Amino acid sequence: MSFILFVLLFTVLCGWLDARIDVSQGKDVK
Amino acid sequence: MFAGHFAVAAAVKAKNPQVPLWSLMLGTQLLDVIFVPLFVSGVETMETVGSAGYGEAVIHADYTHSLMGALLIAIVAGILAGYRWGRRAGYILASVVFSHWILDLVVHRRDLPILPGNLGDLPLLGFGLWQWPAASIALEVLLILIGGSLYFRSSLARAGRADLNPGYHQTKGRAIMASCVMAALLVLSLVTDTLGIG
Repeated sequence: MSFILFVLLFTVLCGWLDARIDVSQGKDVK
Repeated sequence: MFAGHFAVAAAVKAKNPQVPLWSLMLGTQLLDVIFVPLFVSGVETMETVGSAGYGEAVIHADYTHSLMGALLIAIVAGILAGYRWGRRAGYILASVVFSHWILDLVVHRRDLPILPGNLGDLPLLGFGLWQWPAASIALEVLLILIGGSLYFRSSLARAGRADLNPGYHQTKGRAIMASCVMAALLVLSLVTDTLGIG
């Protein structure tokens, strides 16, 4: 159960937060 | 070990900012993600040893965690990533997916087959670091420190310079936020894994 939760958190939450770094610089995020 | 696998993805992202972080995070756990439905359906199994604590398991993931099976999954993931983000990203993602098997080789007991389904009944692989939990946890802590610090430094570097980037403070704030959440999740995943929560 915790495995699925962490895969989701890392994939979605960290992925989204990381993509925001580039968005705030006006870079295209694929 | 799942914190260690995530830490590898963080370190790779630091050196390859053009590859989306979500793909690296998913890629580093892809063998286990595919393992879940096979485990639920009974195709792959797991038996606990000792008190069923941290690393106290023999995992019969004869398809997803066989050497050739892992290579095949890595190649397919690499081809898909290469198609979407370019050849270099494809190589990087394939390597990240296969890094899971390399780390598992270090910690697993002898339960990793060479061929899918343990075809040919060849010797099983695994250096068994899980038999020494303190050493295994130390390895994960080391991976977290390296992956987390590399990610933090690269995120700040991506914010650029205050005199060149008009949105520098906002970008820097987002980089710090992303790094803090990453660090917190890495530590939390290690703690829950170590305590056997979940």
